[in-house]
Amino acid sequence: MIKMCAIHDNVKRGISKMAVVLIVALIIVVGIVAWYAFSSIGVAPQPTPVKKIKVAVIYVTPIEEPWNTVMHEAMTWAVNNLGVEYVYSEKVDTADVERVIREYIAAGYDIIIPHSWGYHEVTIKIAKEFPNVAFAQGSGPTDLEYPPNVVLYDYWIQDAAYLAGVTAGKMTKTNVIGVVTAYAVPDVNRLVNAFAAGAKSVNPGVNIRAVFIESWFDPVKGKEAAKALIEAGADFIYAERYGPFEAAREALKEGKTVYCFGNIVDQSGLAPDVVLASVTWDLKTFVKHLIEMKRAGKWEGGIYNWGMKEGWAKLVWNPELKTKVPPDVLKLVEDLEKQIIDGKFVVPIYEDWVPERWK
Amino acid sequence: MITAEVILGLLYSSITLLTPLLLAGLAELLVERSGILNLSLEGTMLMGAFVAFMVAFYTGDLYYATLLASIAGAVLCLLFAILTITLALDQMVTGLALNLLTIGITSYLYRASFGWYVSPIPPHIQTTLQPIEIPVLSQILVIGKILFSHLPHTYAAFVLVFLTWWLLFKTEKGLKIRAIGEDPQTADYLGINVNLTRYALLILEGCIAGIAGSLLSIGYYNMFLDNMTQGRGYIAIALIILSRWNPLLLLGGAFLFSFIDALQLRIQAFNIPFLPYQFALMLPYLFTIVLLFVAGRKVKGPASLAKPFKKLR
Repeated sequence: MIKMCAIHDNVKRGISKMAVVLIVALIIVVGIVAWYAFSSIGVAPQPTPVKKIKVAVIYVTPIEEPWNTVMHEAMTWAVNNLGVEYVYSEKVDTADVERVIREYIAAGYDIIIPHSWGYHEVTIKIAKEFPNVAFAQGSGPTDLEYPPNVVLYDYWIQDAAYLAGVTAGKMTKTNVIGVVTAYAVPDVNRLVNAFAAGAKSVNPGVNIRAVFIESWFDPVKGKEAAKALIEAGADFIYAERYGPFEAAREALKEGKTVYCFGNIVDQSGLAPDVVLASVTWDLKTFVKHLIEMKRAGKWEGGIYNWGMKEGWAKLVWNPELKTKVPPDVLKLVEDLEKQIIDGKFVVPIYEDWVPERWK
Repeated sequence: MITAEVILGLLYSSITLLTPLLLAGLAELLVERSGILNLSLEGTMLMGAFVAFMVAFYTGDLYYATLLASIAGAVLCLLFAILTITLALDQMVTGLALNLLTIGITSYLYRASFGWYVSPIPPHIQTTLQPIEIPVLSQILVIGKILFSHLPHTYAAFVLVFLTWWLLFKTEKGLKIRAIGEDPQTADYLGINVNLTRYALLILEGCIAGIAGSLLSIGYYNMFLDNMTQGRGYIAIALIILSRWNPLLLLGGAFLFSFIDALQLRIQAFNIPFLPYQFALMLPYLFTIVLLFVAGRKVKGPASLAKPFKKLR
């Protein structure tokens, strides 16, 4: 009886072993067949007269963040109008970006755009290894040495922030204007300072208050920060981060008019009743320039600090509220814009935040 | 400059910031009293914020949005319960894993419904939850506006403080919950159904934390953004330790924390002389460290906290 069982067990084990071997073999066969089937589709000759430029962009946060949205929009525009191929990876941790860049290079991408400050060290390292691949690094320290195949760009939209400041400085009734912003880091400070400088240039008595919420993405805290500013008497708020629009709307319900400026993208659609204008960044001309350089085979690295002149920064009015701006203010802003574009006026750049500067 | 209106604003803002922390904290406090450490509180709040926003966006009904947020929270906590009670997995690891899972799931589903290409303006809802002014009481001079003109959630949170306290310390059920948290084995011998109690408390926590999260996306703001809870769940858990697992102390601790946060925003906004903005930014963290030093010494949580329970009988 015991022997019988043992035999039975052995048979069972034999069968199950057999089954495993069979299944594995089947998977391998199916895999090989599928591989041939699909690879033959891929190998099929494609009539491509001009080689498509392949661009890969790497984002550190989701594309909903305005800083990324601008690049994503410009690239989507380039896909439709310049016939490039575009892929992207989002939420790529700085520690993981080297792998992602190497994968894109291995896949034959021509232009790699690591779109975050934290990526700059990896970009420098890999760009040295692959001198034929073009890199455009989105922000990084300007005092470092970059390989010749790296373009360094940043959101130099202080020109538009300055114009927003001029508008606020001219129009404020309480002489208090505020900014709700994330952290006191150079690229943020540049905008906050330009906004303050613009306001001070037309109204030396204006008080400038900046509130840092210490987070890139916390609309609830941003809203509370804006409420604090409104209680402090601010009637113009530059919303460097999400949050102030809802606070301004609540104030409007209570009969207090507080106007906001959107940042990076045109945000007037989010709150048409309180967003007066948006300090916008447009990367289409820049992306076009990059692609033309690559097509012509003349990629030139270096630091790009484009501004209003190149169509890179713009103050976009909310059409529904533009009528609230007095004609003389509107004219002043338009004149200044012309002067900036003609190079007759240069917006000051400060990369540190010192509240005493604007006392 | 510093008028009564400013102080009112400060207190009102503190209560606003307090509500989600207090709601989530109370629910977690009950669960921790029964010996379960649920770190997935953060993820549950995020799931609540996401589900509430999606429902509000597609149906425009904030009531259903809140209801579904609470169901979604309960489902997530039920998953946590199955993993940690029935399968007796490590509670810390499971909680953290669920948090990562929710961050991934919420942003994936957000993309799946709004498309891979999002216009410059993120999707948003037109109306948010409106504060309810309690008649008569809200007319009381000074304190009426601060205390009696809030979202219903805030009133509920304050009532819950006393309800949890009463439940824990004044009822037989509460005694059983605390007994489980101290020594589940003995409690089991005495005929208390340890696992059932823990399951029930976790599902309750899911409901409440889901609603607490929904406040962020449909109450205080009108959008959902990736990982928008920004660590509020973890802060709630930290506040429970500060308050020695006592609901009344939790109310105090959470209020103080929110008050300091609202205060530091105002120190910046009012540009108060001799107080640099860096000092303001440091305040909430300084407060946490000092309070932990003062109140957190010799604090002992429930003895069986975060230990898996296996029936020996």
